Amino acid sequence: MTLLAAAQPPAGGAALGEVFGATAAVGLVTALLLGVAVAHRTRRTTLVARFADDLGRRTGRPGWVALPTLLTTVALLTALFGMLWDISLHIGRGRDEGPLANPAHYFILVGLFLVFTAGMAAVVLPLDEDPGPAAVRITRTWKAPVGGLLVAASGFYALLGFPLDDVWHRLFGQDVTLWGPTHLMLITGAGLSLIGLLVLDQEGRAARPELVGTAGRRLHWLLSSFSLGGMLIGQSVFQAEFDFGVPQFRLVLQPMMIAGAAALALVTARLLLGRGAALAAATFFVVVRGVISLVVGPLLGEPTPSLPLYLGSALLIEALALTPLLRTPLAFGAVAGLLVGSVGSAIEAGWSYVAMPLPWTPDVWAEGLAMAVPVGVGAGLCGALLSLGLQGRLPRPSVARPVVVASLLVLAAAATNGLLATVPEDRTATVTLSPVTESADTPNPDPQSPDGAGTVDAEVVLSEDVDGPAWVQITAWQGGGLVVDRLERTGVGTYRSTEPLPVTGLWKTLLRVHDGRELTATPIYLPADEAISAPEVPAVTSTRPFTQEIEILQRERDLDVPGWTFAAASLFVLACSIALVLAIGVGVGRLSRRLVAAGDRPTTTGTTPPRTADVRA
Amino acid sequence: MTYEVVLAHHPLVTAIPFFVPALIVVGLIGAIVWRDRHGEQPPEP
Repeated sequence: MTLLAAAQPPAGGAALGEVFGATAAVGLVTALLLGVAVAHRTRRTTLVARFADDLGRRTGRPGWVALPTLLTTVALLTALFGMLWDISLHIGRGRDEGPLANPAHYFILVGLFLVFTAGMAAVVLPLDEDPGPAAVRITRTWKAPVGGLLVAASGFYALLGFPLDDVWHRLFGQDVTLWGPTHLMLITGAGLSLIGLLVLDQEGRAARPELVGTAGRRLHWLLSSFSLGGMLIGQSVFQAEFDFGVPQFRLVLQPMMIAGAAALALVTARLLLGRGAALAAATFFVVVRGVISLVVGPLLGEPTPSLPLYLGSALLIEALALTPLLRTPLAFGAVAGLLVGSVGSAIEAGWSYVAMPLPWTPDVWAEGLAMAVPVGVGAGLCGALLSLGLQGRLPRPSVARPVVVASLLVLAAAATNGLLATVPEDRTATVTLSPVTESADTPNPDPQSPDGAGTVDAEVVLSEDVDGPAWVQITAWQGGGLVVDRLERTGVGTYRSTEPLPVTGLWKTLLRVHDGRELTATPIYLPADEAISAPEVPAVTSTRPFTQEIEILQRERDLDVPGWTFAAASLFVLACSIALVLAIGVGVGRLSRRLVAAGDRPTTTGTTPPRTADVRA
Repeated sequence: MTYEVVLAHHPLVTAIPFFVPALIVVGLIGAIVWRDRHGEQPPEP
């Protein structure tokens, strides 16, 4: 087996120096953490326990909840920043020169490793107490909170995505898309860790209810709301391609994803934490994602991601909670999901015209609603179940299980529909290019060509007109920035560019058309790429056929690999993801049952008026 | 100036820095559970 090779390809394998450096650093940290854990459990030191307990007193939680919560928060913010920076780097500069050659990857990996560490901290920390009624026995004298195990499992699953991602790229080439299966493992693991954190928090409340008041119920409520805001952030990472304006999938998927994320997180927030929690969670999302967008974009000089609003959906849920429907959580979740999927989507559609690079044109309204509403209802129901489970009020399995299964099936059906796209046959575009003369009014998008040389204006004639398309645009990326120019319609099937388009160096410039189920593109300029034996597509006035988008957008992807291997690898990743979701379902179910058996339900609930009043106090 | 970078040409090598430490920790916990379930002394007082 050949492990090493002296070569310098632009992709394929990490540089050994980077592997050694990262291994030494993480190995040292792991050894230190293990040493501290052993010293703690053998009572050779009380340092960690004292620190955790002090943190717990300040935040109204046991130490074995407070410290892992702090660690997970830092971890997820680190990973989120790394993920958005990484995506912007890929969009602006193209593929990596290896899995450890991209600085953003270190933020992701350190963040995910810290998520795993946080979960293990929750497992290791409890010494002289049962960590909640749902604790899992490790040894005769050691019990671990189930929430800690779920956080650790989520972190472990996300970390597993890293080596598998390398395997994936070696098998199928570098598919530069966020929605590669192993990329989804990273995002799913990180996102689901927050549900583990919510379980852990409820275990802490049940184990030490007297602590809740020590830090002030308002602070406790606020921190818990932020956890749900974090859940919203985690689910929103799936939308990142749309946020940047380079989605490789149909636009109808975006309303569905926003409705699903909003309904799940915000219904859980309102039912679990009471009045104002949905709004607080959405506000937390906007602030955190807004700050990271500003750091990635204006500060680091990479393409800036936009973000969904969610505040409209939060207001809808808060308003619905003023009705008697709040007393029947499942019905509340379903109606809230319906509102979020319909009215909430309409608000997001308006927001897309203000802040999104690709607004939701009428072309996607009907199908987008047909997907967003059922997914919103299913997510709202699951949010209601999650909040009930965390409060020890989960309905009997004959009710809960069909609801979850049906919701997942609806999500799968809607996602499959969204992924189905067609490529028109025998259709061409004639693109006429003319050099741009730089002036004060024509910003130069190419930092590699300070004088603006190599930028062009484009006139486009489609061989067949499109009727109210989702987009007709020219995208230029991976040459040192991103240009998404929605073309101006000038006549029947004719369009023109509205800003200078780079067509030199490493830029990849293409004409994209999305109309209904059709999703297609034709190249305008592609550089020669020796690493993948791809010739240059010169930037000249020409008539070229439309083709499948991924042949251009994922130029590095190896499309010659047998289809069944891609399907088998995808199914393996899907099976792993389902296993993690099931594990979380089992964990929430275990917590709920044990809370009932112990007759000890945590105090935060937005559905039972007296306890809501407690929270507000 | 040019220089030569030596690359790891097997995905297992790229798994070492972050995933393998997590795997070792999981293995340790698994070993502790196994020892406890099989009647040996637990690793703590």
